[in-house]
Parts: sequence; structure tokens; C-alpha cells
Amino acid sequence: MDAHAYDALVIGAGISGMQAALDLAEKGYQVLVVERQASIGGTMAKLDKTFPTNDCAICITAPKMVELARHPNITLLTSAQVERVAGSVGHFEVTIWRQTTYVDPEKCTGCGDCARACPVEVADTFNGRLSRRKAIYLQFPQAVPAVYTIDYAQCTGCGACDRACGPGAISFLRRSQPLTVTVGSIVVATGFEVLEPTELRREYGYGRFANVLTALQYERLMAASGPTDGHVTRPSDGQAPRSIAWIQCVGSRSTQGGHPYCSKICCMYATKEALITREHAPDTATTIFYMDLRAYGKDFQQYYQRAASHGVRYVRSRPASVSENADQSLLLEYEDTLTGKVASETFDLLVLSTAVVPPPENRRLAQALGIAVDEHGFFVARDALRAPLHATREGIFLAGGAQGPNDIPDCVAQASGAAGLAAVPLSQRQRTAEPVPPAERDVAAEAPRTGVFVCSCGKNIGGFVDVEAVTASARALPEVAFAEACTFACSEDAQRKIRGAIEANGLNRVVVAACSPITHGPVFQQTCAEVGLNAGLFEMANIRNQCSWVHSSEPGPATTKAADLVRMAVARASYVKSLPVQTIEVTPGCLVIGGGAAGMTAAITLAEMGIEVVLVERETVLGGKLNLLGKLAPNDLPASTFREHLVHEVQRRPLIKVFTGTEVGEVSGHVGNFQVTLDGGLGEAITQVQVGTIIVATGFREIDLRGRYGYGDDPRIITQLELERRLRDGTLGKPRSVVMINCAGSLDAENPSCCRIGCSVAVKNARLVHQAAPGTQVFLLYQDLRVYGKGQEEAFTQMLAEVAPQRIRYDAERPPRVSLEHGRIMVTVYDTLLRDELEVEADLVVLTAALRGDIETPRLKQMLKVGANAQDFYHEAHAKIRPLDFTTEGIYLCGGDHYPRSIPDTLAQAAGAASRAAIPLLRGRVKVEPIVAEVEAARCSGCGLCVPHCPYGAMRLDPERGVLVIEEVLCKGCGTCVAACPSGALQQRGFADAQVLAMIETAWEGALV
Amino acid sequence: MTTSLETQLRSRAHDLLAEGVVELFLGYRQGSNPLRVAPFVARTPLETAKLVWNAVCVPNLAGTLAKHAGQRIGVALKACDAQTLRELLKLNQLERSRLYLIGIGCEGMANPEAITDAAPGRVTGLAEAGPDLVITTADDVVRRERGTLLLTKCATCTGMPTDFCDEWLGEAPPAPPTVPAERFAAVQALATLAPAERLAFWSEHLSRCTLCYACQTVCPLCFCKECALTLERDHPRRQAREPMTIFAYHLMRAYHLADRCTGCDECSRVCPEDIPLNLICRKLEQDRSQV
Amino acid sequence: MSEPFEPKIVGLLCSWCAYAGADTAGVSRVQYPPNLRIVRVMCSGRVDPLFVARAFEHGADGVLVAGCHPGDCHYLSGNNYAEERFAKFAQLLDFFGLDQRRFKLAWVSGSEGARFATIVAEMTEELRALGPLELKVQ
Repeated sequence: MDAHAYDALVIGAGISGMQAALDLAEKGYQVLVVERQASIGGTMAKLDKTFPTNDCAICITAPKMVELARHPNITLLTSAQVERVAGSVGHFEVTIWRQTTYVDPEKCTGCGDCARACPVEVADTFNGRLSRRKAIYLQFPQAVPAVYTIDYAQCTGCGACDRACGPGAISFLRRSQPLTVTVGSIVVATGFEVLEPTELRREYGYGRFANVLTALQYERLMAASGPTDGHVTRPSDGQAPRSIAWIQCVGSRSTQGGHPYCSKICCMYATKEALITREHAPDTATTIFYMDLRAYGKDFQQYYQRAASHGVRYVRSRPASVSENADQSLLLEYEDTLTGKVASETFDLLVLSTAVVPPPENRRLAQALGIAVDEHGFFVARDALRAPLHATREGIFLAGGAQGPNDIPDCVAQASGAAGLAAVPLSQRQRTAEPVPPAERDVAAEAPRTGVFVCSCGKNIGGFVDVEAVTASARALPEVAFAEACTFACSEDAQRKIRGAIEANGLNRVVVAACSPITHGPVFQQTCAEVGLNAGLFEMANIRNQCSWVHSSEPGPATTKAADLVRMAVARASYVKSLPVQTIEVTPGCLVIGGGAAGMTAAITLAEMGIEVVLVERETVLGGKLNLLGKLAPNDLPASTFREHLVHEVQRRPLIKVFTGTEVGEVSGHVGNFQVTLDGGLGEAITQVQVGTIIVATGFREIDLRGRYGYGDDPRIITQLELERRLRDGTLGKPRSVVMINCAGSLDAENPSCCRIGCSVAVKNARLVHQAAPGTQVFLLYQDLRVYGKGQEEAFTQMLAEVAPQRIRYDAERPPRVSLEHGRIMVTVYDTLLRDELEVEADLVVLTAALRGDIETPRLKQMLKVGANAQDFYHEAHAKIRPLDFTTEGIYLCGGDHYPRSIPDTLAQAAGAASRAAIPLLRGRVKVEPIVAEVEAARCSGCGLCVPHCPYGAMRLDPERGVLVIEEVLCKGCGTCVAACPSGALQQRGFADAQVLAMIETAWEGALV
Repeated sequence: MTTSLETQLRSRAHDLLAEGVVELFLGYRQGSNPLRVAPFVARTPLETAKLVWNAVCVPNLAGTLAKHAGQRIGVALKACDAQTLRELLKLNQLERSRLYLIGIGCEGMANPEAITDAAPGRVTGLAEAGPDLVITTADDVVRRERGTLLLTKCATCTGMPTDFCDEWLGEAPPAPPTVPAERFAAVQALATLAPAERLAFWSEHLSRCTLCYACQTVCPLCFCKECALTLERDHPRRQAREPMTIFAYHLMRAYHLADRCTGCDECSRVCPEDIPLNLICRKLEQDRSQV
Repeated sequence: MSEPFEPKIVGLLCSWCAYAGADTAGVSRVQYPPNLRIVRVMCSGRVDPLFVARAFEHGADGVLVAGCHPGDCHYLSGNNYAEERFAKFAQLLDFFGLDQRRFKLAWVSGSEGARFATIVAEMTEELRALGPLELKVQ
């Protein structure tokens, strides 16, 4: 038995587990990843697109999957599960059960001959059982590792696959084996499943009627790689549905259904599914039956409105029943709660947004790990407020769907957070040094010898493009020394062949004609690097996404175009040069801007990893919003107690240097070496600090509501923040009636977004008002009740029972009006459910004000050269998979300056930002962007036309020599300056004029006729 | 008057060189015939005697100036040359502190072709007499009003930039308050044509282009050390003078000059095929004035 | 009978938005005419009008430049410069009598696959009506 030592163990390799593993491995720790399935990727790999950016899910997941599989510090075990964990933090002894798949991963080429030979057909669970696969199968085309697996439960043992397998990879003698390893810390990221309401009540006919699907099944129907190639059709007859209905909250938000919580993601994915359905087939009628439309993330509300304006119909109703018509369409009976009308309506297809549920496996795993799960089976945090990522056993951390419903960016943030916390017990360990890049061949003096590999991507390209003809036309080009067709260029097997061909033929340029360089370029660059070819000598022709897939009805022109694209790539390849990879040394230390809950938590997490921190706070005391709040959800902990705790944790750590009453004056430099001026205000000294990375944690603010809802006219009209203060100070008094108005200043033209936390704050404060002044009648005026976060739905239900507030749903078109009449405050509101105008006298009006980013954001964003939206919330690098990074390297964000969020979410993000910011610091060196601008001094006339075009301030004129100078580490490689240069003295590495023009000039010249 | 301008200029240039204020002085000398002058650099006080100033001092001296960047140099400037020079200074091609600028009260330069046309034979002499030019041929002398013989750019001169020169010789013509509308008359006429007619117009003219690059070579604002547009001169398409290649060259030349061209019309002056390249200058000037 | 005219288009697309949008069109299997050849650059700000002129010189009947929507530039402001440059360039095209429909500057986000396809389809249609880019010379 092997008792290999690793630094950390990550259980589960969906988006959360992958992010946690990569964050740890990037820091130099050895990570073991254990995945129960045959491929990594998790639920995200099954999705079609992601909201609200409509990014293709597999396109952004696949690169991470490949990165994980290739990472030198990561060991991946698939089809494996954790059996037992002994020991304690720092010294866990883990027993893992490796299920045999009867296929030798070293020998399998992923060719699929075995599956073609296999006589056993079973339902394909990856495709929601909407299609069939064989008993030996590959989960999905982009599976990592790309190795076939035998589904033993279905296998008849006939041996057909064994006989068909050329390389002899199949052996029924391979046995499942236990494996024992030691690790220092553990991240649990086992994800979630969706409820399949087949048992018990068979809600809404699922399992009885052919045309009722879960939303996850529908996701597969839409997916281009799904059972219908992305054509939405009815399971019963294969016809395109003319009308589709979604029913929300199936199994969720219902104690009877067994899932009292809100599943959090369904409103948006249903919106996404309906919107994209209409984009594909504009004549399809789409209707979403919802309870509250919870569009509470960044840009979610705008996405929802876009869907509504694109003809997605929203009906506020929980349908009463579903029955099947003779043609297998479905008849829904429902009452529209906004009009009061009872209707029955027929739909061709019905999609159920079913509850997010924990994997049943969680309970067993919890026992093995010695940690707790809640009554549903989600893992629970040690302290839901203060330690949201700590499991109940020290050294074990939680991320993503394993602890409750979460959307992708929250999963990624939590995963980074868990990785940051999991790095803490490892801080004394030796880290793996920066790997030495493989030696590179110097090909500068060689004439181009280009190798071309044309991928048929199974049928994805080969089905529409004559791959052999394209290969032949490439072979005829003078620079091409080798050309070959392959089935899946990205498969491990094909990569081996590419490496072999480079070596055997002395190739010094490689062109792969396949999918998109955005998703797969790095994969092939790595392959080339392994045999000494610099990444810059690789070129890709996009003959799938931009050819075969979009010209599938015109195979002739598609083939011509593919040949043209290959010729263009080959022409370009003749002009490419090696792109030198340079690294620079990193100054240790991190600057954290903002000393609220987020900034303090980030600082503490960094210090625990052994990193020096400079913590800067504008106010004279640390604490941020915690200084203003009363009691915190979910356990009514006084904010002051939590603040004291955090301040103490900051102050007792000598690695954290605190500057209060201080603003950031100037920032220069770049990742690895930032020079920052700290301005202590009047009469105080200016301090210069040098850091390697920066975390921005500047929080949010309430908008100024003066002039609206009578705010500013009367001290009895206040905001939620002001109410918090009164509750904290005990100055609430005994109001007989309190009217809370949610969405004050939100969801309008000026500020279209939803503030995300307002409903939860209102719910919490309604209860606290009730406790402080029993007998007070609370009126809660809302548009949709969008309580957000773990346990919030339950808190809402509890509040309803305790406080019995009068809930009034109003509409944005007819907002409540507040007037002062003879010293009395009157609130008039049209109740859309009663369909009547009501007038309420209020002793206190509490406005749940719209939220914006910090007031300093416009200044800070300029200084840091990062982006922010109209509401002063910073732009993260990617809405889904890079929520904590800025596009500017070395700068990270967390907390309410990205978007308003609850304290547990803020703390998770803060730990995550600390994890991200620690990576360059722990590595000690960072890589410089290879495709920077460069100037040929002899040709530069020093006119300076280019200088103002650089968004990063990377260029200046040398007054002595009268030529341009570029600070390469500041350059991000956009090439805007290059286009501004009239003489061609400026060029961009990798995108030089000659390289781009080579493609332009060959696009239509020398075309196959 | 003109004689005195020329005398004044010689004397100032002489003194500046003698006092060591400048190392070089740039002006014109007489060319191969009375209607031609050539840029001339005086290096000693004695050489200033060769400087001339007459009614055909057409070439733009700003471009020549750029060739002597780095030296202390004095120059006699017409309004149009000054405008070009201002652009060159903006683009860091010259250092103002090394220049000594003598602005000349230029009354507009005569078009040598117009003079030839007006003369009954080969022109042997040219002189100024008040508002008139006196043109001498082998057997005749004719007087013509200077205003009728001006270059088009001079007829609609946009004036000397204010507070630009170190000193001033002669009478400064009052700067026109606005750019005269007739300056853009020809461009305007072209703009009213349908695109296809414009294409036909340019096709006809550009079909004469031999890609000799004289327009690029003479342009005082083409200061790149190597021109990205002429680097391609050996490309087979250029050698074959393919129409689209010629179009692309002139299109890009216009684009590169878009924010710079001051309308000195040197390009059309030197074009051996008489392609109305000054229309492009006017177009760029017009676009710039509309920003 | 001659073959119907098929216009030849060169597309210069920024990697982050327009190129990604073209990829998305593929993922979504949105069909558009096969008359476009795409060249990837990192930012629409990298596109030198020289590239456009050269494309015309080397056989293109139309050129499409596409980048991120205003405000969405991955490099903060590259697309603004592209817009500025090509406004100037398009005026000159017009001045020389080259039909402005032969050049198009468009903003396409990474998720706008269908929009990208529509832009290409419309441009192809327009150019088909315009006919080939031919300069007549005596």
C-alpha cells in the first residue's frame, strides 16, 4: 500500500473543487484531487450557457479541466472516493477507495472503438437519460481524463470491447484498490444535484408524462454537445415545441416538499433557458411561472428585464396541477396572483426548476470525514456567520454546492477562500519550487518547417468539412513540411502524435486546425513546449466554431473556407517568432485597502499564511459597516462583538501593519512590485510602501435618497442603516407602526440593479423591531421578496410567523408615496395582490435604499487602472470564473465593492481574495505578458503619437534619445499603440504587422478555386 | 519694397550668423531660371549674399529644417511654412529652442505656371512693382496684377500663427478672421458628386500615378525614418501598378496625414503627373476644422 | 451565364469579444454565409487602417472590424481608439469614392453569437448587391 504524502486533499472536481485545487497548487503545494465520477468538470460541464453573460459553460470549464489535469503539483484520482480520515489537522491520514474502470488510462487513446463494439445500450445519465450510451463510454467529449470507463453495473462481461481495443487497454483483471495518503488539510467540494421528483408525489407529472423535464435535462437539450445537438425537441415525438413553460420552486421553498430553502439559482437559469430558447427559435412561446423572481446578483435584474423584453413571459403563480393531453402536450391549471385570473393553458413542453439537493453521498462522506451535515445533507459550517467555510472538524474546509445552493461565481469565490484557509495549516511546509521551463530550441535562423494537424473533432468538423482535402491542400503549401488529419487533436493520444511528428520531422512551426484558440490554444502550446517549441511558434486555425459549425449546410464552401483558414495560419506561422517568457521577482507583502469585515478577514488570512500585510483604512477606526450595524443575521450576534473579534485578530498579528485615518494617495508599478503612497491626512506623514499584490475591499454605500419618499424631510423617515443604529443604540422608541419600503431607488431607470441584500436586511430588521418594540405593526412593502443566502428563506418563514407583518406587494410602475400631513406620515401604496390602493399611517418609515459602490471608487479605479460600472461597483475579470480577480494582474477584490453581499459571503470572498493575492507572493516570481509592444529604436522618430493611446501608462518618450521607451511589465498587450504608429517602428510581439498582414493578404489570394 | 525685404533678410541672416546666434541660416537661392528658387543653407555670413526673396519662393522650408534638427538654425518663414513647422514642433521633430524664426510678410506666391502662361515667350526675368509683377521675356515686358497669378493656397491663405516668430520682416498681412470658404470650393464640389462619380474622378487621376513617391518624399510632415507605405515598393502588385494598390497607397498616405497636413500643397507641386493631390490636403484640412 | 457574385470579406476581430462572439455563433450553430475570413487580434485598437487598405488591395470586397461594446473593452479603451480611427478612415474611403458599405465597424460581445451571424449575413448581402470591388482605369 502506497502512503504517499500530499499537502492538501480536495474532494470533488467540479468548478469549486478545481478552483480550490488550482489555487493550492499554484501556491506550490502538492494537491491530491479525488473525484467520484470518471471525469472532472462536475455540473458546470453539463450546462449549456451561463447567466447573465451567456458564456458557453463548457468553453470556460474545459480550460480549467485541462489546466488541472496538466498541473505539475496536482495528482488526479477519478472514480475514487474517500473512505476514512484519521489523524488531525496537519497530519490527516486518508484512506481512498479507487474503483477500477477496467481500462488502463496509460494505454487508452480515447478512440471509441470499444464503445462501437459494445452491445449493451443504457440510458446516458450525463445527458439526463435523454439519450443512450454504451456500457463502456466516455462521459462527454471534453472529458478529462479522456479515458473510456466500463459501467460495471451494466456490463455483461461479453468481452467485445477487449477484442476491439487496439492498444489492449482493457483488462477485467484490474481490481479496485484502497490507497492511503497523508495530507495537511482538506477541502470538501462535492457539489449538488437536482431533485428528480419521481418518488412520492411525482410533482407536475415528472416521470409520468414524457414531455416534463427537469431544468438540468433541458440544459442538455439546449447544449450543442447534448443528445439533440442543441435542437430543442420534445422527448415524445422529436418535434420542436411551440410553447414551453417553466415552473419554479418545484420542491424548494416548501416545508411539505422537504426543501424549505430557496434553491437560489433557478430563477436565473430558467430566465437564461427561456431567453436562449427564444434566441434560437424566436417563435417559441416561453412562460415562467414563479413565486418571487429572484434576480439578485450583479446584472441579474438587467438580464431578467432583457428576457422580458425579448418576449419571455413571466406569470406570478404556482400552478395547481398538470395533466397530459392526447397529443402529449400538457395542460396547466393556474391562478395568476397579479390579476387574480384562474386559467388553464396548454404547453408543448414543461420544464421543472427543481430543488437543488445535496448528493446522497454526502452523509456517508460526512461520517468518513467526521464532520456534520444539516438535516438536508448539506455540510454545515462551524459558525454560519463567522466561519462560513470551516467544516466542523479543524483542518477541513467547505466550498460550493456542498454546503448549499450557490451560483458559479460564489462557488469559485468560496473555493478560493477554502484554498486560502487550507493553506494556513501548510504555511510551515516546503513548497514546490517554480518548475523549470523545458529547454527551447532556437529556431530563429531556420527557414519555416511547418507542421499542420487538421482535426475532425469526431463529426464536429469531419461531418461538414472534407478534412482529408484540407489536409492535402495544406500539404501542398511550400512552407509545410508535414500535414496530417486527426480525429481529436486535443486527445492525449493525438498530442503524443503531434509531439512525435515535431521531433521526427524537425518542425519549427505548428498549425493546428481545430476549434478555437481561446479555449484550446494553451493546450497545444503546452504540447509544443514539451518538445522544445516556444508557444509563439504555435498557430491555430479555427475551422470548427468559425467554420464547420456555422456552415453545416454548405459542405463545399465550408471545406474551401477551412482550407483558406489553414493557408492563412500557415502564412502567419512563417512570420512568427519565439515569445520569450520573462519573470520578475516579487516584493513580499500585500496591501489591503479597506478595514471592514472583508479587508480585516483578508488581512488575517494572509497573515496566517505567513504573509506581511499593510491594512489601510480611511476612517480612524477599523470595522467599516460593522461600526454601523446592530445585530447580524443569521444568529443575532451584535456587530460590535464581531468587530471586536476581528480587530483583536488583526492587532495580535505582528505581520499586519495597520494604517487608520489613511488614504491611498498614489499607486505605481505592477504585479510583483507596487509602490504605494499612503496619505495620513493633514499634518501626518506620507508613507511609502512596496508590496507585491493589492486587495481592494472598500465596501458599498447607501444612495442618497433625499427628495424621494420624503427622506430628509422628517426624522421619522430613515434608511435601513439608520434603523440598525437605532436598534443598536436602543433609540428606536415605541413606534406603533413601522413601514419598510424595499427597493427604494432600485429597479428604476437610473439604477436598474437589485441590491441583493435588501430583502434579507428588511426581514432581519422586521424581527428585531418586533423584539425591541413588541406590538409594533410592521408593514413590509416589496416588489419581489428576494431573500438571499444560506438559511435566509428559513429566517424569512420564521419572521413571518413571529412578527406577522403586513406584506404589500407593489409594482415599480406604481411605487409607494410618502407624504407628511399635519405631522402625520402617510404611506399610500397600490397592493398588486389585493389590487387595491391602501393608505397606512406610519410612525416610522424605513427605506431599504439602493446600494452603490464606495464613493472613492471613481478615484481608486483610475489609480489602480481597473474598471467599475455606473453604480461604482468594480468589474471583476470574469463574471463567472474570475470573480475575485481584476483584469489588472496582481490586484484582487472582495466584499461589497464588487456587489452588495451578506457577511458570510463577504468573509468567504475575503479569504478567497487572500488566496488569490497570496499566489504571486508565495511563488516569489511572476511571468510578464509575452505579447507586449516593442519598439525598434532605429525606426522610431519620437513623434509620441502612440503615447496617449496606452491605457496602462506603459510608454513614455525618452527626451534624451528622442525615442519611445516601453515598460514591458505594465504593457498588457492590446496593441492599440502599435496601430497608432505611422512608421511601423512599434510592433506587438505575436501580433506584428507582418504576422497580421500575412493572414490578410492570403485570405483571398491563392484561394482554392 | 521687395528688394528691401530681400536686403533686410540678408542683413539679418548675416548678423545672426556673425553673432553666433545661429550656426546655419535657411532661406532660398535663385534656381536654374527666374521662376525657380531652391532651399539654401547659408553657413557663413558671406554666404548670406546668395539669399533671395521674390514672388516665387514656393518650396516649404519646414521640411528642409527638419533635416538639420539638432543644430541651431535660423529660417525665413512664410505663413504656410510656419504652420507646418508648428506641427513638426508638436510632434517632437524639432526643438523650438534651437530655432530662430524670422517671419516674412509674404504677399502670396505666384504660380510659376500662371506666369509662364501670362508671358508671351520664355521668361527671362521677374520683378515686383507695387501690386504688380513685371515679367520679362526675350522681346517683351508684361505687367500683371500679382493677385491674379497667385497659387490657390495663397489666394486663400489662412495666415501666420500668432506669437510664433522671433522677429518679423515686412508688413504682416492681416490674418483672415476665418478660413476663406473658397479654400474648400473644389473639395466641396467633389463632395456633392455621387460616390461612383468620385471614384471615377480619382480613378482617372490616379491611373496616371507611377508610384514615384515624390509626394511622400517632398512632404515636410512625412517624418518617419522609414515610410511604412513605401517599404512595399518592390511588391509585384506595386511593380504592376495595380489600381487598387495605387488607391491603397494614396488612401493610407492621406490617413497618415489626417491630423497633421497643413495644406502646403508641396505634394501636388512636385507630382510629375499633375494629380490634384492638393484636393486631399484640402479635404484633411476641412475635416480637421470640423472636429 | 456567369456564376452569381460571392463577395469576399476579411474580418478583423478582437479576441475577447468579437472573436469570442464568432465562437459562440459556432457553439450555438447559428448559420451565416461562408464569405468571411477571420483574423484574430487582441483588441480592436490593434487594427491599423493599413490592414483594411491591404485587405482591399489583396482581393477583399469588404472588411469587417469588430470589437467589444463601448465600455466593455478588455483593455479599457482600445475600442474607443478604434472608433476614432475608423471614423476618420471611413471619411477618406468616401472621399475617394469607395462605397462606405465595404467597410464596417461593429461591436459584438462574446455572448452575441446570433448578432455576429446577422452582421455577417447582412454585410454579405449588401456586398452581393454592390458587386465586386473593381477600379476601372483607362
